[in-house]
Amino acid sequence: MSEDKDRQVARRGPRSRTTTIALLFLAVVVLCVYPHFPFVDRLFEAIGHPILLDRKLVSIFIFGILALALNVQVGYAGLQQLGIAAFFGIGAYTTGILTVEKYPFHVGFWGAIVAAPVCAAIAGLAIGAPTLRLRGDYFAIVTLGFGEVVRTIILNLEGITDGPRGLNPIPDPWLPPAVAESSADPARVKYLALYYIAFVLLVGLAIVFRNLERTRLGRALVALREDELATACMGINPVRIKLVALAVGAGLAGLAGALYSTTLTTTAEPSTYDFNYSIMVLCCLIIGGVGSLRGAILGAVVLFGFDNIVSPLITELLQPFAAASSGNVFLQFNNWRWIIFGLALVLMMRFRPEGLWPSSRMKAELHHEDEGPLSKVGP
Amino acid sequence: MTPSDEIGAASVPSPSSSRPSPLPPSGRAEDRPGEVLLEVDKLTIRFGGLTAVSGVDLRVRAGEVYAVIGPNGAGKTTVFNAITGIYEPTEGTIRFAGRDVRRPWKKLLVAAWLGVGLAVALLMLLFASNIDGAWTASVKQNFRGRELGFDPGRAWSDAVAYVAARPRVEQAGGRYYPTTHDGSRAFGSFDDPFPAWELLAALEVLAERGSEAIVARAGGFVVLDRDGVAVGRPFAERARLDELVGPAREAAAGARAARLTRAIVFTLALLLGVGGAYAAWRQSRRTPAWVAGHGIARTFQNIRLFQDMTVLENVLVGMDRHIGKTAKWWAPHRFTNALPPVALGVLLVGLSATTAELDADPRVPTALFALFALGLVGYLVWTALLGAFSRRDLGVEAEAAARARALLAFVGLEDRAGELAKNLAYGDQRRLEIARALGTEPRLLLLDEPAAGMNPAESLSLMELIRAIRERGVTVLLIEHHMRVVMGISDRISVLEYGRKIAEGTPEEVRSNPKVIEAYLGKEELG
Repeated sequence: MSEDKDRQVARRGPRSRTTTIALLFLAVVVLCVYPHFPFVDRLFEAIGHPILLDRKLVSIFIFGILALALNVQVGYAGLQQLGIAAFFGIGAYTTGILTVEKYPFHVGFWGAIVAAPVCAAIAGLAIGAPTLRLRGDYFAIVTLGFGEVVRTIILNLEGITDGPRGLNPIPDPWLPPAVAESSADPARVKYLALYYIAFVLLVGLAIVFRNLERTRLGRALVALREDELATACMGINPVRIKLVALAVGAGLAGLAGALYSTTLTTTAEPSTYDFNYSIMVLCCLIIGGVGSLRGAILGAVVLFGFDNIVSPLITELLQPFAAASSGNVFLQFNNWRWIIFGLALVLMMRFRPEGLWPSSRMKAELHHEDEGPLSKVGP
Repeated sequence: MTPSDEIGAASVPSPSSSRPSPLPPSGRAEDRPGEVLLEVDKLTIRFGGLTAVSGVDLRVRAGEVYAVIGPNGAGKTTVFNAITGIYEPTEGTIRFAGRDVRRPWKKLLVAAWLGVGLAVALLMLLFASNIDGAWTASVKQNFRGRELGFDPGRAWSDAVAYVAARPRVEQAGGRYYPTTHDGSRAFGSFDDPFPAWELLAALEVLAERGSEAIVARAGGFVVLDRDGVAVGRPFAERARLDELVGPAREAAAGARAARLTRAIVFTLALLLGVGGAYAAWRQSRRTPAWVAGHGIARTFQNIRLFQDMTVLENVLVGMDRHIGKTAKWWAPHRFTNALPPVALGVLLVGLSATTAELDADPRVPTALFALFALGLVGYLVWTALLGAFSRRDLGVEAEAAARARALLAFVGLEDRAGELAKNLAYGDQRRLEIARALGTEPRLLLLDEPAAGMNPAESLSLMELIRAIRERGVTVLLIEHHMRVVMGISDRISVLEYGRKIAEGTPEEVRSNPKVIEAYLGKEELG
């Protein structure tokens, strides 16, 4: 426990720590009961503009898991990964192949949720083992290429993946009869089940990673990011640690893919898993704070919330004006979306490179030059 | 010793005063003092055309403090880098405790390389023979709906036949088609699989022997193989059989070509995979991590601490390989920690199972999920408070932290444990680097200019620290420019100049060696 005290003294006051924990706790409680008391949705329904937040929360959770996955690779291990969508897609298509009616496997959602991460992790190892010795920027190019290759392969293996149509329908998860029969509406049951599965997974992963930061592997990852040679001279094999990070990140992206395809009941078309998607997830980290657990989740909420909830809402609110001026492109908010998004990113990079809610360590690393000359002293 | 040194020494706590006794255990029993621990033989390192080190010999005996000195650019740090596995020696050998510190060759390695090669080869074989086709021929062909079932054995043998470019029998709509390797079904269809297989066998003979194989028998014309055994059932007309010779030859030639291509691809990919795995192994035979794991730790000339980690964490990274070594996975607390959440889960499932029977009541579903949510919150509170699994796994971490604190106390930094490494004073950063290196439990500690930038008082207490390290049973090899430090603590000294060793001996011998004086002060002018 005394270690924790040291930590507090070193990083921030105990006051803000308590506040943070209380806020997180409140958020967890609210999200636990939200499907039963969707007060935000009621509010927007009352003013006549339903936003379907309760449905979209499931996607936000899945996107959050994906952001956590990338955070393991980019944030913790410092790997420049530009192809996370490939592993997401591998997870989705593994789920598709293993569950759809037309193929003989029929392992169901619960089988797929185990198999998809395993397949994605194996793919991660296969791409990582020969390339991890490359320097950072070359590794970025390799992952970028890998992402595009995977997408093209999925698109062209039409006999297996049904090409641009995607595999469907993906069956709903099996639930214990007691739960499955708890509501007369099967769609409601499925929604609640996926909501809680995704939520529990997200929160569980957040707890696991929070704990990881204080164990051997977590420390080795931070050390590796700070000084690879010094870490190696401590007897820690950098390649092995990076491979572990790559496999864990890829596996989690596969898990997110399994959830995503089950929610959609289809693997979606292969172009869903393209370079843009990888960059979107990377932007989550940049906005929230690279290497910060809470930042990754916050980034997913902000980005996904803006793109899928706020932006459609504003479009809808502006509808009367757009209709009156008969198709003035500037009055359609959708056309402004990317400009606002890009502007926000530029402003972030200029004024708050550590992200909205950074970890104290990352903040310190990014402001290295500002703080005291000591770090630069040398003979 | 000048008066100013004494004043300085009084104002700085010397490590011996704050050191806990007894000393934390370190060093290894196998090091007998006087035995040669590190043996550097004719070490030469060239970078392109530049020779940084040429033919240097060093013999460091266990239990001594050995110094390497020399003017800047003499190649001292390069020697260190070679010893710790950062550079590969161009020539010469480095032996530690009587053996070469590099990954040993084992027979099992060949199996591993072959495994990698085989995986690459199989993947390339699949690519060369069309993954889509193989999938269709095996999985899709053998599965038509849940009712009819799926035979994995058949699917496997079909997949093998497809990849090996052998003819197969495919079924579609209840008919059986003899199919050539490339999927063409030019030989009609049957109600039954057996005649289809017989026709394929007959085609094989026809492709080999041509029309000579066709013989009239009772009931029609049959195909005879080389042993004179009839293949398949008789045909009514000979012309029908003669027509088949051409297509059979074509199909056989196509299959032969496909097999040849695939064999070439397979062999090349196998070679590539095995070669790649071998190259990767060769490159990683002598890495810094491997060397460090065998008991050689080091510090760096331009301090390389993990600046944004705390002092304690820095030492814990050094101890990484020795954390949790003695912990047992079946330690009871791992299970007792997990018990409450698991019990809660079981209780919840049980409760929901019983309440669900009251489904006449419309409020039941909501109540169920509220209960589930409550349970979830309970679980989260539990994990947050007690940190089940990894956080408290945990005697391990606490024990490691205690050892790290003991090491910090040993170097005199025990009250800075929670600070970030970059906030330490310069001298303290050097001490922390030493503590971190000691965390790897080395037999040989390499110190690269430990006294650089230190004031006289600090360098005095550093000398005490180095003596204390030697008392722990750790041999010390250091590079240093501070002559007072070097002469004060070293048992033996080597002098390098322009990458060559020009002198070796006790401090007194080296001090009076004319070559050394020349290297440091220049040649005395006569007259």
